[in-house]
Amino acid sequence: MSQGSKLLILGILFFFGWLTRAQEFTSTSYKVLDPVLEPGGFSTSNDYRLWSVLAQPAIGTSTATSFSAKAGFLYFPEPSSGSGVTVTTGGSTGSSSGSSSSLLGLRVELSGLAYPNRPVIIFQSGRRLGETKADAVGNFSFSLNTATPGTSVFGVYAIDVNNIQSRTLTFPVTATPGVVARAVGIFIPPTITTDKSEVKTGEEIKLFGQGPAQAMVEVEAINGRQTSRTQVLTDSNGNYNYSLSTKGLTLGDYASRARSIVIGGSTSLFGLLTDWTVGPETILRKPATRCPRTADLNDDCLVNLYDFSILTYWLDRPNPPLKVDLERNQTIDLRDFSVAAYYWTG
Amino acid sequence: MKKLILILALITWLHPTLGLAALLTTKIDHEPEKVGDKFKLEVWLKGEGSDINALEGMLIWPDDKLKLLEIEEAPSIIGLWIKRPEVVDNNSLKFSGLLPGGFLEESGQLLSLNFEILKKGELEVRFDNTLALLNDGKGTPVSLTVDNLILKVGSSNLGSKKQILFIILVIISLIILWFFRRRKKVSV
Repeated sequence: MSQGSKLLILGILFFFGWLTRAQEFTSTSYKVLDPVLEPGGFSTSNDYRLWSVLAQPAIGTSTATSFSAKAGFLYFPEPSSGSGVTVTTGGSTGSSSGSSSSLLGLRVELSGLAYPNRPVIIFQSGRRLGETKADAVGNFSFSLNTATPGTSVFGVYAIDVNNIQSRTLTFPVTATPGVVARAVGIFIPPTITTDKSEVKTGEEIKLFGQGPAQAMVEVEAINGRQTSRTQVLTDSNGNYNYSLSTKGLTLGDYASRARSIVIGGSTSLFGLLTDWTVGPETILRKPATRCPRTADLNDDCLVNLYDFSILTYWLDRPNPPLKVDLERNQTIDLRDFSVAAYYWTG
Repeated sequence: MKKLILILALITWLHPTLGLAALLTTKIDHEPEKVGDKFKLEVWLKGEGSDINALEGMLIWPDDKLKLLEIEEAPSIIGLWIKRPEVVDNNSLKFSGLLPGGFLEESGQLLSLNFEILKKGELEVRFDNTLALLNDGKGTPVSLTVDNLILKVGSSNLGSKKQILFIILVIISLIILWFFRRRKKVSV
């Protein structure tokens, strides 16, 4: 092959490489666009463990008495969102009493898995709608009879037994008069914290948090590009803890996060990161309080519209108060709002 | 020449990984064809897996060719507008909003604008001063790319992305056919 031909082919590949796509799959209610062959990890239950890797094209089921694996991307039963939440619509709200659509009711139903007997908070477009309590396993449900029609973003988070706020899961829901919108599979990621903010090298650090009852929690310790993982079981209250020896760990900053895996194979997203350091001394971490660490500008233990209003007042104004200047850059800009959005409680 | 081929091969290999960033893009309900046509332009955020919680930017259009008729703030993934979308100097729109708790979805609509064509020719609606921040409690900026809208009104409309894609595919097919035929001849 002449060098000119090689160059021509490389040129084509360079400019049109983005056209390369794996085969796409569609049906009337499901679409897999640009599938990527990315193998998954392994799945476990009490009496079954899958160690091999099943990539998406694999099709078939593996079963044991209390476990089944549905491999391959044609097996996903419902389209799910980036947060893992499945939103469906259907059924009547039952409140229709006239011919005018304005008389039809609006209903949104949410359900999922959080932490046993702990509060779950729901907000819509930043405004708190209400709070519910999960059952002894961690299951929760919430119904809303009057929601704003149209598409809006819902947010759901939980507060664990140590007063640590979970990662918020957000997802769009379209509320239509006369139709029930259901968001199911809201799997709140587990919380994680440590007993020490800095641990003396060679000593142990305790990583602990809460997830659903009797679930597997995968805990990660991340140091730069290196990540170590371990799995622990939660007890009947959803609590877990893991003692990590720092022998052999390099000095420096670490971050840990966790995700839950329940029988049946559902896996949550990873929760929020908690930072800790391996250093020359041990510093105990202060226990979390119910109030957010920052962004609570009016001291009501919430980060919500009131705080947003205070931030908005100071937007682009000179000399904002230190408490309001969350990013400490002597001005209120988008970054301060981003910090408030992170600590949002609704 | 070998070095050049090596460099091109390396770029080819790296090329698909270069596109990983959040994207601000537009969608139109139909392509306007003549003066007086009206169309809706939707502004979308494609997160590409980024957990974004704050966003701001500007849309600019040629006011001699386009007239803004209406701004629609809903549906929107923006939970709270820091600065409601407002028109500046008749040819641009500023927006700034918050997504409390972050946004994990693949894509979501921010707002939409209804326009009327005033003059034929090529026109561009472009983004400017855009900024998106990660939901990490630190206000970390996200790598944000923009996809501006280019329209050709009143001339043979080759501006359609689908048409351009089709032409590119035909050209590629012809090149491949030519290459294999040439190779066959050489081997004979």
